[in-house]
Amino acid sequence: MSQQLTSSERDRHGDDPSPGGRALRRATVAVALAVVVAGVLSASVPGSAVTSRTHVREIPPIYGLVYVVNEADQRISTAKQMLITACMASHGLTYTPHFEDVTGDQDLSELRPFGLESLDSLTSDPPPPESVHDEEYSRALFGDPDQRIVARGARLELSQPATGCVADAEHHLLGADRLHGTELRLRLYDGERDAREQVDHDPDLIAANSRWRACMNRAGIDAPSPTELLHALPPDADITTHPATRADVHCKRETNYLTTAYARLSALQRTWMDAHRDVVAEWIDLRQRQDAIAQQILARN
Amino acid sequence: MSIKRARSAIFRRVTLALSLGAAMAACGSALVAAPAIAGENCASGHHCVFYTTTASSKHSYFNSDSNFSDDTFSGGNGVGAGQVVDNNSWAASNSSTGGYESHYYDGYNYSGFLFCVNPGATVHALPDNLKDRASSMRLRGTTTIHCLSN
Repeated sequence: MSQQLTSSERDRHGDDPSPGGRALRRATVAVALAVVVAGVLSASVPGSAVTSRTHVREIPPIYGLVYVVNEADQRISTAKQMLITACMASHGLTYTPHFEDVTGDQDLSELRPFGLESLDSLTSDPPPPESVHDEEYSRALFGDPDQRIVARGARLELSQPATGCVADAEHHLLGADRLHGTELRLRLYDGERDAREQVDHDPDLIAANSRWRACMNRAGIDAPSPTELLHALPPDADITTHPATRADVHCKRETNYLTTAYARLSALQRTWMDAHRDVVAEWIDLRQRQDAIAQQILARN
Repeated sequence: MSIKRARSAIFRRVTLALSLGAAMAACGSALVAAPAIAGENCASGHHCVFYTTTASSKHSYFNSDSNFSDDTFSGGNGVGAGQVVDNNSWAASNSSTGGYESHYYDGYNYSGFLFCVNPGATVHALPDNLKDRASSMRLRGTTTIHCLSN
């Protein structure tokens, strides 16, 4: 079973350095917005432009490995769902997962590692509500809740079912490497987060941020960075129309912010991958073996 | 990220001190409680975030939520009960039986992706640079994205 933190451990790790920051920044943004010259933003921000699609943007290599859709992953996903469906049918149950079909560009845009990239695609339709199933159904799908396997990375610990149709499907595709596959995924996540945290200190991104901030100032908005701008907005703000988010997207385009940010993030992810070639090679090898099995399953059906 | 951690350490420690007694009293029973379904301590079809461990108070989501600031933790062993969910969770669990992935974000309105959790999986003990960060959660259907498992 997984490790359980105690409340004293939460106390030990839960140090919050500075109180009131969000409220203060909300007030700052609110005051700053009061001096926005009417019409400036609406005249300068194209309503339907999609920044991510109009800028050539480098795909960070770890994102490419784990987030961006490709044919092999589609085959693996399809085969896995077929296995789960057949397994559930053997229990006399119908499994009908909701699939989300997105392009690689959309997958990347969903991550928004540097805040908003456009004012489009922010209010996509929610998926249909999930059907409510009973405990028998859940047990068939996820097995005995007391039997779980635990994988650990440097940052995260993740538990998942050891039995049931989902586990069986993953065993079918990965064999004895199921747990190792999750461990590799957690290692890649370590690299992803390391790079994301390091990029905030990158000189090129700091310079781009200064240009972005100056642009925002010209629009009458004072915000330290794109991500902090979003955090400072009132929770009920409509980010598709709010003057600050319109200015944010406009200024990112004007200063080429996202091109710089993605290029630097990509460089840092490459550095991590170079230092962890074994992890990357094992991950790719595992995916290839998984794809070979998936192709066999798909060919039989 | 400074704003995400911009809450009072004093307030938290006082809160924790008050809840510690209840936590210790409830801890034993939580460990032998009726088995959870799918993701740990998360009802079928739901996506849960926890104040500390999966035995602590939680908030269960059935749909996407673009803003955790009006949600609070409850139930479990009482640790964290009444606390606001926004920027305050240390674990997450997915019990979707329809293939829905739970995608967590640093900011409101699904900005700043943090991680995603596959159906049946539970992320425990988020590290210092990931805990107290999630501010919104978006449900997505089954995608080809590799969440934190296979």
